[in-house]
Parts: sequence; structure tokens; C-alpha cells
Amino acid sequence: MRQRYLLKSPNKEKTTACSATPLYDDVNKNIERLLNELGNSSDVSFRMVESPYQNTLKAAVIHLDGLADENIINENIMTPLIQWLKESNQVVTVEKTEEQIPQILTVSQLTIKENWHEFVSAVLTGDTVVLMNGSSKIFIGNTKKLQSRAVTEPTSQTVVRGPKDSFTENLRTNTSLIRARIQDSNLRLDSMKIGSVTHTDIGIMYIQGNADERIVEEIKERLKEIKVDGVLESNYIEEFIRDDRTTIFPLLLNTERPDAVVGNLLEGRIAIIVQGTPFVLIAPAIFSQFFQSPEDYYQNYYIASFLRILRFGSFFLSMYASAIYLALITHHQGLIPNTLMVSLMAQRERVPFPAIVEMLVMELAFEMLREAGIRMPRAIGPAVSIVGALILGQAAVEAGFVSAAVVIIVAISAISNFTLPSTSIVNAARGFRFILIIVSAFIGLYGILLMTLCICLHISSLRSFGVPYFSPFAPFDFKEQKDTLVRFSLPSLLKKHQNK
Amino acid sequence: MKTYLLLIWIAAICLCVSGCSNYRELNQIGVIIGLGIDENKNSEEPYKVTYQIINPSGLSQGSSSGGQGLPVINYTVTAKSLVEALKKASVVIPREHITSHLSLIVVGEKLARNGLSLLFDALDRGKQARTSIPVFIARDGTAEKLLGVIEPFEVTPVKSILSTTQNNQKMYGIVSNVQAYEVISMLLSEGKDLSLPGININKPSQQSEEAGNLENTSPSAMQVKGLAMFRKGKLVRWLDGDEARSVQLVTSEVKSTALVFPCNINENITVTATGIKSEINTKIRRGQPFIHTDLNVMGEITETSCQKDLSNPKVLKELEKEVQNELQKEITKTISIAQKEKADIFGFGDSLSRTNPSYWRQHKQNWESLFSSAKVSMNVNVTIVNTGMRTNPYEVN
Repeated sequence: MRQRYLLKSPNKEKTTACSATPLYDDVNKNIERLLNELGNSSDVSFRMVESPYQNTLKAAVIHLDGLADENIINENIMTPLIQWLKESNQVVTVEKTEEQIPQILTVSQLTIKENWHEFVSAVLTGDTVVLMNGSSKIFIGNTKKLQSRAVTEPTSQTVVRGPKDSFTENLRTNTSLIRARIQDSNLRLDSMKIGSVTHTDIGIMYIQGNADERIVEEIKERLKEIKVDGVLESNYIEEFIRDDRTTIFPLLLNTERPDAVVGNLLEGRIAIIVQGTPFVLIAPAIFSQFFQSPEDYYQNYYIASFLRILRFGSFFLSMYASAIYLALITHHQGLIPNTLMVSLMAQRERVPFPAIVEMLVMELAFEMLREAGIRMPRAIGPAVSIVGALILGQAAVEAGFVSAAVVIIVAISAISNFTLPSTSIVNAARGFRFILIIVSAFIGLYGILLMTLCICLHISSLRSFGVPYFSPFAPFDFKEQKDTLVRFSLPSLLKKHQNK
Repeated sequence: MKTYLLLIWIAAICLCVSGCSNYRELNQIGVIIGLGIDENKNSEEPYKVTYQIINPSGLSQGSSSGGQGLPVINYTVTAKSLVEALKKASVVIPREHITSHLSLIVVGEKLARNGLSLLFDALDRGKQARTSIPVFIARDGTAEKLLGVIEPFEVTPVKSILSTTQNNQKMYGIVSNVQAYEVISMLLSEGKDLSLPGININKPSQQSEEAGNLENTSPSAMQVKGLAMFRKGKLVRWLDGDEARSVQLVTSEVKSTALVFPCNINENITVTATGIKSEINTKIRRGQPFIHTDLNVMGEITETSCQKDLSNPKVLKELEKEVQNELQKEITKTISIAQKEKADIFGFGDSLSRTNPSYWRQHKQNWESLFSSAKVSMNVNVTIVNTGMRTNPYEVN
């Protein structure tokens, strides 16, 4: 269904096919045709300039208002062009013109093309095109100037110690942030355009020699096979190129931190940067990477190791805390110590709902609050948080609708969610949490164990661009354990890379 | 995709078919925490079983909705067997009662005197309850009465019995908790007889079973009262005070205790033992079993009411000797009582079966009489480590 919706419609292919034609000699005809093709869009701006000595010597300067940098056009295209026309008091042949134009235009990039399709796409990307009367060649000056915000602090992946910059929506800014950190000649940036309508720029960055050539080729192959109308965010790419399209686990890492991307590039991974989103994809990604924060490498490694283990633990908790609680109080009361049993019984005594209903309602209430927290307009934020705190807190317990223990369990599983540096792995845990709750209500701990087995089998069967997703745990690699559950000191880690 | 959907369907159907077979809500069960077994006068139904069940609404604190009633409720039924009693208890217990949280068993003295024999078969055979729960004897009374005390300190009487006996074992050492599986293994053992802690109510009165008991600063409460000595599964006599403590000293079950011995007329010295270790040695001499006990006690002088120069090592050595003699007297007395009753509660027989298996195999049938006539020797070694925070007592002028 999804693919059918995104696939481009066949009649659009026709228009692109007929546009691969040469240009006219006549400037006016060309402009007329361009305006026609763009449907007389009001942001197409062009100016005709003519030599005062011979009226056949004409030039047209065309750009898209807003996408091109007016200052560059004025200073580096219009000014020299008019100057040249003024000074050329002798008859100039077409050949001479074509020769002289590249010399007088002072833009940083100038390309000469003869194709109608190139003409249209150059205008649409924000370049300025100079047409000369009588010539079927076009001169494309680079005047792209995308509206973009400044580099700011990351919003979703913050650190205490470490770089405070983050990617923006602008592809060029993003590649420059990476380039600035890796000043090595082996850093490669390959580009392509994806999207039959949006023609979104995609950058593939890797370090030659570090990255596996086969994976680079594989990624390029998969990217080429994407056939969609538009790419608005990197997830559009992710869902097309990942190995297993049915899994809930993220098979590509996404980050808005340049330092995280650089670290991964150095480890031989490949970054896919998409125009229009600050989230850069990193492939291949393995399970343990989603528990690593860039800050792990910026602080003492004992603390970093402790925090990593904590994150793995809280991932486990966020999946299992509510399910295990439910299994214990509904199926395996014998496993609860006496004193705890007494206090749990006292809490549940007047709760009117079955434990499973109580648990599901509280979990869903929390999910609602979380969703509301993201979606709601800023202005009504305080109101929602007050009401939410009441729903999930004292009021519900005092009214006797839920037991205090359930509130605590839901709070634990919620808070443990937020310790993970990657939101995509959190979403996987959230999904499994509900399945586990239902299974544990039916068949208790046995069900939890069964489900755990299924999850383990599933994770072990996943691949990310050929790399086993659960490595280095399964298949087990003793040497790789230095940087998974714990982080060894940097000298001992970096020795590993030198040996490679 | 199709296989995935199919698998999900199969899983969902399996879940629904299984139903909630074992699903029990916490507010639909009655948790039995204590079990009292008494003899019933009617020989048709020889058991009178008391179940102590947690009353959750009596425990909920703070909120306006809770706080009714007492924390526990006792239900008593009579039956032919213990399992029947459990099932029969449903005539009075309003909720499905589970025994997984059973934390102790109290046996009435009368029943214990008639013999425990196969009383614990149901517990051992059953799937739900554990056998790692301690067993007590209700001295001079019934388990029903004992479990009925409104406990003033702990939340429930069961908790009170458990913590009182544990505290006593740690601080003084009259009794040590014996788990049900140990009871079973001692009952089937030929070389060791059973000894169980006895408990009773310190102030038996009608009030002890009413909430009014809580409004008294010196209320009726559980107390540890002696050690029950068994012969072949039948209670034969009670050991009290120092006699009971001697048993724990020989079996090194006691962790610390206070040893008081006279140093003058009406004056005494107290040694707090901190490290107690004993070893039982059994030998065969001239065809007769010979019982030997080594006891090492480490302690410090914590109180004295006689003027002695405690800074003098020689004096301390003398004191050590006196403590040794005192302890030796106590223990010899206890062992001779046991010999008289023919109840080997120390496990000398077990020791002999390990050191002299062939002799044991021949004579285990008449171990009782052999034990009662066996020669006993003892080596008590007391070390006084220090004299506390000061050496000599202050002088009263």
C-alpha cells in the first residue's frame, strides 16, 4: 500500500522524457518555453540586456526569486555583463561570445550546458542562467542560497561535555560541519538526487580505506533503486534501504550530532545526509550502538561504562518492568516476599479493576501524556502537565482507581525510556512493552520468557547491510566487547583501530 | 508478510485458548501466613487446624478508604487430615486461600506429646507451600490460642513469633529456628532426635485476643519458652533456660550469649560470648561409644560486681578457668538429662555414623540405650579477649 502510494505516476514520466531536447537559438523563444513549462510562475525572474551597438547581441539572465543570491547576481553577473555589452562596440560573432562570457562572469562556479533539461533544473535549484542570443549554449552560474537557520545546539541528543553544534536542514552546512572535523583527503562525498518531483539532494559520506567498499556500493545501489515522488526526511530513505522492512527495531542509526557522525565515519561506517533534515543516517548500525552516546567518549571511562550498563538495564526495565509486575501479582504470588505481598495486597484491596486493565490504562495514559507533551502548543503546556501529573499520580491513587504500586511501575518504565540516547530504540521497547503486558496477563512469567525468546531470535536474525544486528553478542566476538557493554580506555580502544 | 500474520494469529489464538488458567487477582485471594495444628477431642476428626490469613483492609494505612479491622483473621476448622482441613476451610474463608506465603507452623503441645510422626507429609508432598518454614511448639496451650494474640509490636502474630525467636537465637540462644524440612530429616534420622523451640503467651488473659491488648503498655505477647525435647517424634520434656542454651552451645547454633558466673557470695561477673564454636567427637573405646565435645568460646567481660584486678593477666586466666568449669557443669547436666530421657537431641549418633560406620550399622537399633549409658567427656576452652572499655571496676567508697 505504502509503496503504491509513493510510486510516481506514469504520466509524469512523459514530461521528463520530452524535456531532454536541445535549446533554441533565439533567447525569446527559450524564455517563452521556460515560462510555459513552469506555468508562468510568478517567482521566475529574468532580465534582458542588449548591446547599445548591435541589437542582435542580447543576453537574458534568469533566476528563481528567493532561491538565488541577489547580491551575487548583481555584482558578479549583471555588472560585468552590462559592462561587457557596453564596451563591445565591434560586431561580435556568436562563437566569440561563447568564448568571452566565461571570462567576464565572476561567479565561483560556472558551467556550460546545451540541454533543455539542464536549463530547467539549473533554474529550479537556484542557479542563475545566462542565455545569449544566437547561441544554443547556456551559462549556469552558481548562486544557490538556501534559506536555512543557523547552527544551534542539538535538541534531541544533548550532552553535558562535548560539542554543542548540531546539523541543520541545509545539506551543504551539514557536510561542512563534517568536513571541518575530518580534514583528510580520504573523506569522500558522493551525491545523488532522489525523488521524481522533489529532486532532493542526498550526500553519502565515508572515509575511503576505513569504510567497506562493498557496503558503500550496496548503499548506492539501494539508493538508486528508490522510486518515490519526494523525500522530506531521512526516514523516507531509511524505510526503503533497510534490510528488513517488517521489524520494529531500527536498522539505521540517526543522529543530529556532527561529532557522532564523525566518530562513526572513523569507525568505517557510512553517513547518508539528506537535504531538508538535520537527522543524518548512519549505516550499518548494530544493536549496541543505540546505547552509545557520544558523551561516553568525552568522560571518564569508568563512569561511561557504568552509564552504558545503566542504559542497557533501563532498556530492559522499560520493556519488562510492568510485565513482570503483572505476572507476579496475578500468576506467581508465591514469588513475592511476604512483607511486600502484605503491602501490595493492602494497596490493591479496593481497586475495582483487574490488574491488567489497571496496568494498561496507566500505560496508555502515560503514552497519551507523552504524545500530548510533544504535540501540544507551547502555551497550554503547564495546564497539561498539571492535569497529567494528577491523572498519573496522587489523585488516581487516592480515588482508589489504581494502586500506588502500578503508578510506581509505570513511572519506572517511563523514566527508564528517557535514559536511552536514541529515540528509535526506545520506540521498539515501547512496542514490546505492550505485547509483554498482554502476554504476561494471560500466561504469566512463562509467557514473558517465551516472548523474550522470540525477541532474542528476532534480533539475532536481523542484519544491517550484511552485518549481524546483534553482534558482537551473537555471534560473540570477545575482542569487540571493549566498546559495547562497557567502554575501555581510549588508548586501548584506539590500538584496536591501528591494528586494522 | 503472510507468514508473519499467520504466526501472529497462531500466537493470539494460543493465548486466548490458554485462558487465564492461573490468573488470580490480589484482592481475590486470602494469603495464609500461619498454620496452627492442634489435637481435636473428637477422634473422628483428630485435627483442629487454625489458619491465620492476612486481612489487607486492616493493613492499608493513610487513605480514607482503608483501615478497617485487624491485620489478620484466624479461621479454625476440624478435619480428618490436614489437606482436608485446607479444603474444608472454604466453609468460612471467603476468598481462595493460598499457602504459598505460609511462614510458620505452630503445633499444639498435646499433639506434640502424642507424636509428630507423619504430620508434615502433606507439606512435603504439596506443591504450593515450602518446607523452608520454621516449626514451633505451643507450650502449655494450643496453637489456636497462641495465634490469636493481638500482637502489639509486630504487624502480625506470625511475624512476631518469627522475629522473637530469631532475636533470641542471635542474642541469647535458648532456641534456634528449625525448618520443616529439618524436622522431617530429624524425624527420619536414627542418630538425632528432634528439639523444637517452644513459645507461649507471657500474660494469658482474655484480653490478649481483643484489640484492647494494644492499649496496654505491657501487653500480652509471644515469648520464647524453652526447648521441646523429642524422643522418636514424641515430646518428652521441656528444657529451660541454661539447659536449653547448653543444647545450642553444643550444636553451635547460638551466635552470642551472656555467661554469668559467681566470683564471690552474691557477686558475679558477666562474660559476653561473641564467638562460639563447638565440635562433636565420637569414638569407640573398648566396644563402647565415647562422646567428646570440644567447645571454644571467645568473649569479653562486660559487667562485674566484684572487685578484682582485671588488669592482671593471671586473674583473667583464673576467670577463664572458672567460666570453663561453669559451662562444663551446665553442659554435662544437660547431656545427662538427655541421656536419662534417651533423647539424642545433639546428634551424637549422626556423628558416630560418620566416624564409625561399621559399628553404627551393627548398633543403631539400640542406640538409645547405648547413648544413655555412653561416657561423656568435654573440653571447654574459654578465651577472654578483653574487658570492655575499662579494665578495673570503679571503686565504691
